[in-house]
Amino acid sequence: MKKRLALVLASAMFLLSACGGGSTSTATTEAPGKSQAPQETTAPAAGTKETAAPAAGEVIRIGCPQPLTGTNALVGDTTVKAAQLAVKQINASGGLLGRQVELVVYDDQASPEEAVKIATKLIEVDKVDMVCGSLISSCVLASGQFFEEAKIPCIGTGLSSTWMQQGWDYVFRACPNAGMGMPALAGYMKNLGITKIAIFQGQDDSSASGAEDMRNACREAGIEVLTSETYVEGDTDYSGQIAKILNAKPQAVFTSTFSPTQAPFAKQLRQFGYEGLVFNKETLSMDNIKVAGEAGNGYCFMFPYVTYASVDQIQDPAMKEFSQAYFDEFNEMPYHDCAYRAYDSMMILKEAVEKAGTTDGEAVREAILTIKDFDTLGGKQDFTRGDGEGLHLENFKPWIVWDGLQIDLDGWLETDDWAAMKESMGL
Amino acid sequence: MLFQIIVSGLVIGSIYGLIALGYSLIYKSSGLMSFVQGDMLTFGAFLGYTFYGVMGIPFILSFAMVILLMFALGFAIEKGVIHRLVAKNVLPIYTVLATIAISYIIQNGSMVLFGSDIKYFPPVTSIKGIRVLSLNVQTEAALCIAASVVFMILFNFFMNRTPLGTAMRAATMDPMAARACGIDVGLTTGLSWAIASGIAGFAGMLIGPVYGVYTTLGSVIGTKGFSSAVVGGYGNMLGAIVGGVLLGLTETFLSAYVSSAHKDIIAYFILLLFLFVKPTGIFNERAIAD
Repeated sequence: MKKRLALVLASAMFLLSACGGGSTSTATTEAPGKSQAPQETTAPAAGTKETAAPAAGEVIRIGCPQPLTGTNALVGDTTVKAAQLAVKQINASGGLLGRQVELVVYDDQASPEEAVKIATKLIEVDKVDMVCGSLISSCVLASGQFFEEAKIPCIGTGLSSTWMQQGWDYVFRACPNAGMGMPALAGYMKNLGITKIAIFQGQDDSSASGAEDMRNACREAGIEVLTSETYVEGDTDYSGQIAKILNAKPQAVFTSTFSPTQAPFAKQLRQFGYEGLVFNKETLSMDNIKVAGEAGNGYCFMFPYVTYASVDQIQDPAMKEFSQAYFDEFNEMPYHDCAYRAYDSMMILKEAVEKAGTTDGEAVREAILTIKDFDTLGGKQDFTRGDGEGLHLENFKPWIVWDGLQIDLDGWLETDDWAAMKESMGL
Repeated sequence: MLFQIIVSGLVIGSIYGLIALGYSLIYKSSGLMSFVQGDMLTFGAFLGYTFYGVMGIPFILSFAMVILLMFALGFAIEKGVIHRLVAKNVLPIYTVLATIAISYIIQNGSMVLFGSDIKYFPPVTSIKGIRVLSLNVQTEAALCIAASVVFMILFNFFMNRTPLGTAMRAATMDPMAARACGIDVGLTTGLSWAIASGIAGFAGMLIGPVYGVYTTLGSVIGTKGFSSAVVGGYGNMLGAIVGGVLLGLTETFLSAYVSSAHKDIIAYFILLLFLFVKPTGIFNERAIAD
């Protein structure tokens, strides 16, 4: 709570200083209240490094604009926390190239307009060396050009395919491209023997593009889309759409919706008597799994990672280690997979700087392009393919929601639960 | 399938109706328009979630507490804001704006107080659903329909047959004459806001378990409730519920048999058409003269 207050204050200060114009330089360097001040950490660095250490100019600054207020505040908060954890760990182990790292946090309010202002500020005033970009894709899209021109490597944490299509040389992604998830999912459906599906989708940008990607993927995979039903944001009742979907007699349902729609839709769909698998564009959030209850059983998706309610649930050792460290630091579990995205992005930046031996933008960019088989939370990152993406199709793993948990779908297919469901789906 | 669609239409329609009832009540007894009902519903749902879901207070008790608190909140809003504005003799549009402002304050206040994630509202009863003709209806959903019918009859009776209801209507028609007859106009107006807010809280408690609780839960329901009140005859208690149910059924049938993408366009086009054909609403409610 205190931290959030600090964040709000920090962003308020930033806003004030932004409005004030003129001599803002002192205000802005103070503004990122959450930044890891180098002197706070007790770096066990070698003596020589200590003598060379922190004149302010030698600190490596990494910009981190994220939505910290508004509806995305909780997600933005966990994203920043993960980046801070990375910074803390880096500094604790002697920093980067013997220099301390500082995170420069701003609230982009999920607004592209704000993102542009912040990008200018990060470049001109804070003089950051690198950027761990916003989880809001439209913010990355709006600000990418500025980092590109300033030759500052930026690793965005949004999922939309849009901003990676700009052909920017300095903008990368170390988290999944939502556009890749759909072909992966369609392929998986096909393997299960599903040939006819119905789609339920929202009309907002992210939901609509997810559904469009799925329609394309289905065409490629030879799956017939019987009907695509939409809803208006804010609606709470979807019975009409569900009736239409079920009347089309699909073998499975695919949904691409805004978060508050997921749980009510799941409940209503089950109430209408649909018992089969539901494929979802992305993971269901923990809140939605809880609200949906039993109705959430059988929701499948493909994604490199999922969130957990406690460290004990985690099988993957790297994920376990990260989550434990996160829990120890903040006394809570990562709220959203954005935490993993930010942490992985920070690790890529660290690896690239170490490889390059300098923070020079051009050299770091070159170094990122050589990163291959680099283990992160999302699996092995490979930037050598030249598309700017670190994760690819093979990083997407199948998951299913069952009894309130998100478990491995391949494993679940071995159980009796699947045998029972298979029949109801007519497979 | 048809039966299931009808039931779903009835459920969402009765929620619209309950909200419409609040709008109509306020209009009937104070001649004012309010836009807070939808967000009152959200707030009521959050309160219910806090008492019942977080603190574990038994449902009936939480229910009573929510209605009582919402009742008090409605009264406070009328006395603290609306009444003062009216006393300043401002244009009616200013009080409407004030209600819009309050609605945003409640919506954002809920976000600050309760956070922006979706809250899990535990089911009200251990009975998962009621079977009606081979069909499973969620208990809370059935409650919504029953409650709206009961409220409709109750308030229709209350407004038209009881001394307090008559006093409320009188206070709207001619406040000065009402005062001369010994009616406490301030009290009746305050009460109508309190009751409207109580109903919204009630509806919030009912739909919490069905939809989950989040900050924008009531915003669209609020606008649709308003439309329902107009269709039924703004200020008519029977009309509020009937209008709500009509809108709910129209929407659901449109998305089931016509097009979900164009559902709202068609529904609201019908509404607009309706305004021209029958500007006094289904139940012939004439505007309160001024």
